[in-house]
Amino acid sequence: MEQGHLQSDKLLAPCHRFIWFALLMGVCLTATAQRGQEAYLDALAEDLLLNGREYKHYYVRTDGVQFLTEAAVLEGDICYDGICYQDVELNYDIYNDLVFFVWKEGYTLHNLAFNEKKLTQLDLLGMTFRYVADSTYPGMAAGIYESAFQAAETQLWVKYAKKLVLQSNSPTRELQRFEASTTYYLLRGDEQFIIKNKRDLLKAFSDVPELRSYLKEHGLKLRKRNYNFRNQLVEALEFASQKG
Amino acid sequence: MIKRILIILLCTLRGALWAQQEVVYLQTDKGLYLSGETVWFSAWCLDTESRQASLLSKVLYVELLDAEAQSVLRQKVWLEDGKAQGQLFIDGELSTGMYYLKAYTRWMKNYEPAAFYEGAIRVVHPFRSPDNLMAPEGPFKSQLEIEPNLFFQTDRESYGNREAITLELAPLEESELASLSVSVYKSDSLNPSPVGNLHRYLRARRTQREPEAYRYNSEPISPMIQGQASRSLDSLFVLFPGRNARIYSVRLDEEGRFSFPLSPWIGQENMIFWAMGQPLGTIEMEDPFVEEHEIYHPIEWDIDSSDLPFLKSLSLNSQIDNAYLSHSLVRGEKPEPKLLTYFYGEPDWDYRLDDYTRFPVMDEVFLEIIRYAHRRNRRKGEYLDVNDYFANLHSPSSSIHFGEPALVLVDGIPIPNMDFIWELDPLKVEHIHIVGRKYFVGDHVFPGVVNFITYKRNYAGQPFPEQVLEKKYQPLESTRQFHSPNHQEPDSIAHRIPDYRTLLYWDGGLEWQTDQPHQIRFFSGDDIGHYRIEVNGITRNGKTIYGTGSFTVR
Repeated sequence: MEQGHLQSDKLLAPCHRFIWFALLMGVCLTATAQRGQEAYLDALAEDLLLNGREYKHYYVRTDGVQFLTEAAVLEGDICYDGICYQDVELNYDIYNDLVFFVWKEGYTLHNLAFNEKKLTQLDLLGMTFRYVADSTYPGMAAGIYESAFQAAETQLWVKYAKKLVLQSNSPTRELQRFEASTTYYLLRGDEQFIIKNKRDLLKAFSDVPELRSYLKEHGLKLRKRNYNFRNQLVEALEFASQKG
Repeated sequence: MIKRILIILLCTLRGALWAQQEVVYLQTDKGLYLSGETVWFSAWCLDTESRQASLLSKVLYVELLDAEAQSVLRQKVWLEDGKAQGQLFIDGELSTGMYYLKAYTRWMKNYEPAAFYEGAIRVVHPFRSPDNLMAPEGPFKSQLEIEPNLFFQTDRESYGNREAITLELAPLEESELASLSVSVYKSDSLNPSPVGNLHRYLRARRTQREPEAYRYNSEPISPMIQGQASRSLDSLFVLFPGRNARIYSVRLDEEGRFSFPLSPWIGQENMIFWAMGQPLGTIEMEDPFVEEHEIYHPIEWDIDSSDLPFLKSLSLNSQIDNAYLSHSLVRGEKPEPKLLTYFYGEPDWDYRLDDYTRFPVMDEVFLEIIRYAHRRNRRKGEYLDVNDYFANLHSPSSSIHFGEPALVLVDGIPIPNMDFIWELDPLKVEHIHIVGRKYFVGDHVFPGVVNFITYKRNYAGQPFPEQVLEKKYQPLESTRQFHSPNHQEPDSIAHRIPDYRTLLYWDGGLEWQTDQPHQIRFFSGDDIGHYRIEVNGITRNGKTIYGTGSFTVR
């Protein structure tokens, strides 16, 4: 048996080399074809995305930034004007409530604002944002909201905002800073609640008495100043929406 | 080992040297329609090899042809993950006869037309004598019977009128996400199951010979427009006027050819070509549909006198439905309209002229009311100069402006020259929108936009200028939602309305996790008879699913 193997190996030795060479060529050709396809897709995407107003909001003598995080440019996935794009360089200005696309032309950077009404979905930093029109939910102004939780009868929308306030410690020179605020809108059937703490949540789910013990057991204190208030709220909603 | 390497090698080389091929299959809700009925369909566009959703195409072209292969209805539908849903309305113009459905993508046009999907439906116009019923016998006659691999059951075998019917899909062994179409319709020998079956179709499908040249690009992200300009142009724009105005910059090659993607949300039926004042010459647009078709599988259909009672009952049902049922029940529910927005979004300054003293000439409007756009007359001609919004933001008293001509539009259509604006009757204008920021369109930057919006949104009733060229555009068809009544709702009016629907249920986009049971609930109507259930579909990994069943309404 072993001899047979050796013989066939000897016979196939030059053949092996050819096979490996051809395999390598095939992989290279496939990679080239894939790159060609990707380049074609990128060109089409650029044709469509390069269509917008210039975004040029600079804030001098101001502490902080107008964006969701400190980063000036982020990478996200966006569904805009009926088409979804992946890994787009963009950022979300929560002070002006708009998303802009960063376009590099040689060494020049251009920022182009998206028309928010055509924005159906933005996936950024693990969160999903959507544009909510004026008439969609009464009590929620038109704008971009995070869709933090969606179940059949329960929805949680989060509005991140910033406002400019005067710095109190600068009497001689006008200095401003960005002050962030977050509002949590809970929709249950036709009812709408603004959730600021545990009491608001328990009031919204008064028909789910098990929720109180669940929050206690899992240490969900739901204080708005807690950094993980949003995640705790989502966890509580997952439980409550199943029971409710 | 050697065999395995050779298989990998062949597959790799095939992927590298041969282009991906697509196969399209279209499933209708039933096989026989009367005038005034809707053909509901779902379609799959798959990769021929893997049978997974094709990533090459986002637009499916669907045509209904008569027996002479003349197109009588044409539609473009959106493919999401290789799946499309749509509907064709059979109006009173179509005579009784066999009609053929063709479906293809733009990429498939590179191959032989025989690669297109071809299916057949029967149409009966109750008040017109039939013609073209006889055609040579075709291969559809000798169809292979396919064993169903999906089992389901209704909660009973027979039902009374207006009773709830529950259909439960039995789970399969493998856990996969499947995309299905489900149809429940009144059946008879004259109304057979829709011609074709996805499994059979894929099995019979042959790989196409590669073309000598690929003339048509695929549409991998959105619909494309393709054409050729008769002269070389520095810049070419395509505008879609109206409430949802859009502007695109089109790149031309050395021979004046262009191929450009558009948003799938465009609903306008006319598009405007504009070359920033340069003479346009002529522009030849490529028809995205195929010019001439051939019927490859003609089907014989001969109505005899024994079919007449069934046809009469269908005709009566259809007339009752059209007379009593709501439009949404007969033709489906329209999708929610997209938000209307101009391409520039909210203007930086919006002048609603009714809020101001009205002036008889536009020049006075600009002198007395408009603060952020100015009439300029320089050597290069007259233009509107717009204030810089960002400079204004930081210093509201600032009058810093761009000093360059802004893009000036009337109802989203570019104007030939500024005289048009000064001669425009201000009483016809409702709003003047001003965008005080640079607007980027492809390689072009406009220093601001001024859009005059008239009350009638009709370019102030003026003919389009010579510098623009209007062309027809067929937008994507929006998918309507099949609507079926709930007879358990305590609505006394609905109880008094007759319900003679012959299609009790249709879902062309059911997503089903195959290892989970799934329930479908609908209601029987007032018409008694035998009803057939058809389920067709495919899993994400390319396994076809087919099931059939029936029940009676007594």
